[in-house]
Amino acid sequence: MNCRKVSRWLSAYIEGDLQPLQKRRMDEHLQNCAACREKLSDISMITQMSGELEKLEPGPFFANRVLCEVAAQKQKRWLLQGWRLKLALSAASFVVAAIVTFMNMSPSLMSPTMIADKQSGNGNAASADFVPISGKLARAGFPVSDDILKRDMALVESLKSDSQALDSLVLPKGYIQQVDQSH
Amino acid sequence: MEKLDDKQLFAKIAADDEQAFGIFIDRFKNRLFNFIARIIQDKETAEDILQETFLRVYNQRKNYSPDYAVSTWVFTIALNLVRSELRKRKLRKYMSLDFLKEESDVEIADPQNPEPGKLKPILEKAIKSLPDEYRTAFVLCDIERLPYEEIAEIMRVPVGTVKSRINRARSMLREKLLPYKELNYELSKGLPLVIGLY
Repeated sequence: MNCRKVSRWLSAYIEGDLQPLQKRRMDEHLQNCAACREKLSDISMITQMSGELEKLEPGPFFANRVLCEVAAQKQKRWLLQGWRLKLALSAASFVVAAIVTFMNMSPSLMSPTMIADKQSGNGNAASADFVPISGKLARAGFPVSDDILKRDMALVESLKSDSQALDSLVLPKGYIQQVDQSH
Repeated sequence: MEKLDDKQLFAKIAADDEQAFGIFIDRFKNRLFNFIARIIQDKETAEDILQETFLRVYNQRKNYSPDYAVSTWVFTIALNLVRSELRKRKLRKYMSLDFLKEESDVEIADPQNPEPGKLKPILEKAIKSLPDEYRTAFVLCDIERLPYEEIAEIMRVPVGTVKSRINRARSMLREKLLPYKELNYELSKGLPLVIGLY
């Protein structure tokens, strides 16, 4: 074993990390080589001294500072979440308002109960102009048979005059098919 | 709660127990600071990095895998931040053209007249002058006394690389201390028992 190899194995030798055969060969070399012995001794002392160096420590209120920062970050996150919630609620309100406005503008989309409410309660001006969907289709130029048109208008008139009829109202079966067939 | 081991304590932190986090900080702050400050060599920056380390630990508490030792995980986070800071410094140095200046070797003291009892400050300065990766391995091994396997996990290099870096760092330190013949003489006389130990 030469000095170069011994130099590579010095740390492992100090820490007892060598195989028995490697250790024996190191021992043999060290017995006969004063330079490697000196090197081993120096490195051992450096290792020992390093463990005894002053331990550096952070400032006295370090832990409190970190805990305060954690609390501040939590608060920031909470505020951000609140802002997101507000944004979501605003968006939802806008969508609801848009739907209500659209339904007010299109009476044919209202349920019969809503129509009755409008008529009996608030006297909304839109109820006077209520036109069934068959009527709208006819106005738009679609060929709707007179029978369907008359029946729908009669239904609307009856609803206007007798809101109680709504409770027993059932849309005639095959209504959609009839409209489709009339195209 | 102080008696809980690291993993048990961290389980409480993961369950949002802030008192446990306070104990965790007290348990690790000195070891981590000693490591960070010796690599960064600036106490103020070291404290900022230490704080950022704990904040990351807290923010990632739900991601901790119990397969690793808590200390390994925490030291890995700290080392990542340290490396990032060192990269920034190198870039700043490069941008300011300071790299053109020749780096003088560590100036420790007058080699002919070393002050008695001043061996440790000399060693401190010699450690500071080691290249970053050698210094990191050396500090984790000889100052923090972590086992090779844990250092390898923290530094994300094979165990063999860790061993060779530590051996090289020790040899470099010895070379830096060699000019102080008298001190070195004391060093050589200091531990004659080593050979006999093994």
